[in-house]
Amino acid sequence: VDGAIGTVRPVREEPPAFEVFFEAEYGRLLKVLYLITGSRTEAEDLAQEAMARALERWQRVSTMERPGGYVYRMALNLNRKRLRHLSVVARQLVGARDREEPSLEERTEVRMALDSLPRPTREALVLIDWLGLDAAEAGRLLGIRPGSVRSRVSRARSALRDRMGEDDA
Amino acid sequence: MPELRELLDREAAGAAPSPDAYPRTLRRARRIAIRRQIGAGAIALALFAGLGGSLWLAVRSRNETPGPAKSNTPSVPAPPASWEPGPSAEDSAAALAELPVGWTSLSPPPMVRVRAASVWTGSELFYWGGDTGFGGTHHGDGAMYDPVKDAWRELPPGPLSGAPPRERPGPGPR
Repeated sequence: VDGAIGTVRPVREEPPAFEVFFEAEYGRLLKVLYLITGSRTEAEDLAQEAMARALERWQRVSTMERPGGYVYRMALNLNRKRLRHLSVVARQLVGARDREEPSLEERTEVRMALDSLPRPTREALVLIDWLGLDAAEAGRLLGIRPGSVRSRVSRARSALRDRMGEDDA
Repeated sequence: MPELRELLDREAAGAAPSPDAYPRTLRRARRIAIRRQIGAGAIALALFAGLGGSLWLAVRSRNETPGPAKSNTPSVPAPPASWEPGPSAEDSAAALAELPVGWTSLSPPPMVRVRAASVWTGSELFYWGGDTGFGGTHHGDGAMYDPVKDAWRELPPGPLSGAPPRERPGPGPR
């Protein structure tokens, strides 16, 4: 998972075919969204919506320096929009439904630890510690400064360490 | 505690792309394109309707502008070509001063009315309206009498019927 997103952008005149881009990026995007949302269904829905929107504007998106960045930013924004539109009750219901996917026994320690993090902190952690972006690139995707990304990641690591440490004890 | 990335890696492995992910994405993109086209069509239709409406209003207002402003009062018919205005008050006053003082009978008027309105204009007697007896027809015509010439001249048809208004102020509810 190392390396910046959107690496399929070749150095050539012709923009990459969408199918090639999809093959290269979709799986990783799906996993990022799964780590952030904790739901396979939501992750798949968000990933497909972001990819579909990119395809719909592919002529423009394909000429961008990092087409992958566009898709990740789109998916993260869609997730925030989805959360904003859910009422507190609906959010609880969706949360309950999400938790039905992996049963309580199946839920890993990491999953529970991730779920305990606030969404902005979780996003920063996943982009930096799993996707391997640097703070500047993650900041561009999240719309915040690199310093804020580093601070969020630091808080997330500390919280995870505390939580996992408690569980171990 | 194992490496964080390793743990996240293991967790992320739970989300594998479904085999039909690509065709489903294509279908979704088509739906988005259709929605976008419908939206663009609706906007174009709204713009077209707005533009058409504005044009129609502009044409209508331009056609109406040269005409007189509409009002509830009836239009005044133009006087006949043969009609001429009467003498001025100054001329009439000088001529009247030369007439002998006393009573004299007037030449008969062109119409005989009861309850007709009569006003001295300064040079002529304005005689207008009235009816031809109790409950009779109200007339909307009249004549001017010139005492210097002892002559009547009929007025052109007026815009009013000569009938008194139906609504009159009354004592109100008791």
